Formats: sequence, C-alpha cells, structure tokens
Amino acid sequence: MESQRLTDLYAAHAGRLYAYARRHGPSATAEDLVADAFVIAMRRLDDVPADPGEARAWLIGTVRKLAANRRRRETTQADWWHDAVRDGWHARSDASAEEVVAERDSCVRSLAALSDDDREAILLIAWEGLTQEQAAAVLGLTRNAFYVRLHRARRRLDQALRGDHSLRPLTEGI
Amino acid sequence: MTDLLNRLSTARPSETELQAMWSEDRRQALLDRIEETHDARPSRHRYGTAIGLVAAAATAFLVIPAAVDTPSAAATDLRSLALTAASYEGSVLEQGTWLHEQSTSVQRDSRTLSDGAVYERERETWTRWDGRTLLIERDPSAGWTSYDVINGSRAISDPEAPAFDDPASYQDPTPQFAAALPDTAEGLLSYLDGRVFGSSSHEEAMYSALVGLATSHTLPPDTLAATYEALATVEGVTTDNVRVEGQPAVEVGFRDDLSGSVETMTVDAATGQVLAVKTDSSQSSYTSTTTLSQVVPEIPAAVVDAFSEHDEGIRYNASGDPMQN
Repeated sequence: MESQRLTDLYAAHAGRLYAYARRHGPSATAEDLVADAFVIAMRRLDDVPADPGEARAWLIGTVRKLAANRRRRETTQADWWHDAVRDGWHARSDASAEEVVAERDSCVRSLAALSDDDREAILLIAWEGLTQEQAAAVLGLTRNAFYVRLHRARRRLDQALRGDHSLRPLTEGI
Repeated sequence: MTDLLNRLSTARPSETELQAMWSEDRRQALLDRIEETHDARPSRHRYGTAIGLVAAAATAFLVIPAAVDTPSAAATDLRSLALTAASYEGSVLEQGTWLHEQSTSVQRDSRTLSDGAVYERERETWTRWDGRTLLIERDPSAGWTSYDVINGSRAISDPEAPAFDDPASYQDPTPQFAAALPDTAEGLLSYLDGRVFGSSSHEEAMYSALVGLATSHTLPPDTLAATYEALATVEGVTTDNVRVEGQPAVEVGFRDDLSGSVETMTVDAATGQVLAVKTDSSQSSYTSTTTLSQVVPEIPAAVVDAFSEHDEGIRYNASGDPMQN
C-alpha cells in the first residue's frame, strides 16, 4: 500500500519536483533534495494531501525547506534558478531558435532584476503552476499576504524595467 | 513587460523538456534509492503521526438542516439567484467610479506545511475601474495596520493611459475586465472552459473560477446572473438554504471528493450579491466575509492622506509608529 502510494506520487510529481529542485542546486543536489523529500513523504504519508495539486505543493514546500537547511550549511551560494529556467524552457513550435533564445534570455534578465522573495513568488505561480493558495502554503504565508507579495513583485518588476527603483509615492495616480 | 508571468507560464517545461532535463534512467535510479532508504529505516511506525484535519472555520451562518442538494434543486436555486442578480437596481461600477469594500477573513493553516497558526485580517479596499487598488489591512489581534497599492506602478497623467501592464484575468478581474466578459452562461462557460487550471478536476476548476468572478463584486448584473446560471450546469454543485443575520441566503457549495475539501459561497437571496466564501481543506480553512461593498464616486480625502503618510510594506502599530515585520 505504502509502496504503491510512493510509486504513484513519484510518477506524478518527481519530474516537476526535480525541475523545482534544480533551482536550488546542480543536478546531484537536486536529486538528493528530491530523494529526501520523498523519504520524508513516506515517513509522513498521512500528511501528504490526496489532492494532486496540493500534494505537489506539499512536496515543493518540503524541497524548499530541505534546500534552505542545506544552504545554511554551505559557504557559497549560486543562482541555480537561472540554469533551471534556461534548461527547462519550453520552445513554442511557431518560434525560430533565435526568437526562443531571445525570449528566454529576456525573461531570465527580468527575473534576475527581482529580489529572491519576489522571484520565488512569481516562479511558484508561473513556472511551477501552483495556485495562489498552494504557493502561499509553500511559503508559509496567508493567501492575502501572498496576493500582496505577488502584486508587489509585479510592480517592482515594472519599476525595474522603467529604471525607477522607488516604491513611493503610494498616492501616485490616485 | 510585466506579462512575464504569462511568458513563463507558456514556457513552463513540458514532459518532453522534463525528460530532457532528467532522463528516465536517472529517475528510476533515484526511485530505487528512495525505496531502499525507506525499506532500511528502523521502524516505519514511529513516524506515522497523523495530523488531524483543521477545525472548520467559525461562521455566523445558520444552516437549515433540510439541505436541497439534488442537481435539479441546486439548479433551481441558482437560476433564482440569477433572476435576482439580473434585476439588481443599485449603483453599477463604471469608469470614474470606485468599488469600496470591507471584509474580514480568518485563515487556519494546518501543521502540514505551516505552523498551524490562525490569521485574522480586516481589509478595506478601493478599486478603480482599471484595477488599481488601495488596500488597508489590519490584524486586530496583533494591532498592526498596513497600506498597499495594488496594480499601480506609474503616474496616470494621461487619463487615457492604462494604469498597468499586467493583463487582468478571470482569476483577478478588474472592473474593466469584468465589464467585457460574456454576459450569457454559454458564453462564460465557453470562455472559461479552456482557461481554468490548477485544480483536481475540471468541474472543481470551473466552480472555483465562477465563484471567484462572483466574489470579486466587479461583475455587471447580467454577467453575475450568467455566472449563477453557469454554476447551475457544473456537476457537483449543491445549494443550501441558510440565514445570515436573520436574512435568507443561499449557500452554494462544491465538495471535492478526491481531496476532501469543501468550498462554499454564501449569496444574499434578496440581492444576489455574494456575502462570504469559505474553503475547508486538509491544508487550511479560510473564511472571508464581506461586510460592505458599494460603488463610490471618489476616495475620501482622509484615505488619500493616510496613504500619503504611510510607506508601503510597513506595518504600523496603533500609535501610528512603524513596527518590525
């Protein structure tokens, strides 16, 4: 029974969980994170939600915590998300190779302009495909707080692209 | 260029890209490793602490026991709400007006992903036609207040210029976006059918999308009516007759058997307007109750002054002093 649940969870989520884990380290590290997350899942099987979307959010949240623990032990940090997005980029069938590269690099540059928190909020929604409720759970935020964070991230992105790094004044444009 | 989310969503790796990133052989090898680790652990029972489901959110609603949850009865209730919503004679949002709302919410997180905390919030918003929203949020127990502007990033010196580049969507509708939505059930269902995602079933996704639209309070009367008629066609939707502060209301619900989550939306039977939404799932329970929703011609000067005097992203205590977040 447990073994079948593990097999089902693994078949359903391992690929995307690995893609998420790649945002936190090279391939070997990503595999370690995925393995550790599934071992924890097996030990806490009753905690893993039955809903597939919520189960994926649970696993992503677990990898995120494992990665944070690992980072605290390491002396160097790198922007692994950069490689993960580049490597996983889905090319539109109607776009040329040059267009795909230009589009991908443009998005990576935009993401690089964001803070870690802002980038994580955007990637959890747009790249991992989580709902706002699931992303809020992964980050340990209320759904209202996540909603505000996501909008702030979009706003900062817009300001960064316009060369305006100030968030003031709030009454602008009222 | 803040269509970044859409571009990333489009470029999200497919199964083919995932296979290219991580081969089937390596996937299988890792699964074998996990199974070996799992089988080798000393005792599998010592980790088996089950986390109980979170308690249901407390609400002021009295549910009448005689629930009418057959599909035909639910459809009848929803079509009745549609007639009521279509005949709404109050002020309707239009360019130059603001949607002013007050709501309270209670979220109880499970201990699975969080710390089991309970969050209470009071929110007051003014939403402009193009989606620019002034949000005042308060935590009554912690005693802080914050001031945020949502969907606004630049001065609007040109009244014809859009306020932001983020395209609105059915998940986060602006009044302007809502006004352009189809105002028939067939049109709305067709519009949403290929767009909804992220749920455990298509029916649940359609239910969530339609409830999200109705709850936004941005829909014109005919579109709100179409939303209820569309809900009447979604398999699994139920209705209960309830009373809210003594007044008749209809609780529209959807139970997702796969996850065990229950979503409900409470609608005022007299006006067809949404009063509250509630979600109970294994991860959390959440209740949001709208205590005021009205169309106003402008924002009070005192509110504009308050936003001028406070910084974004800062929580202020009852004395108005910044707090450590």
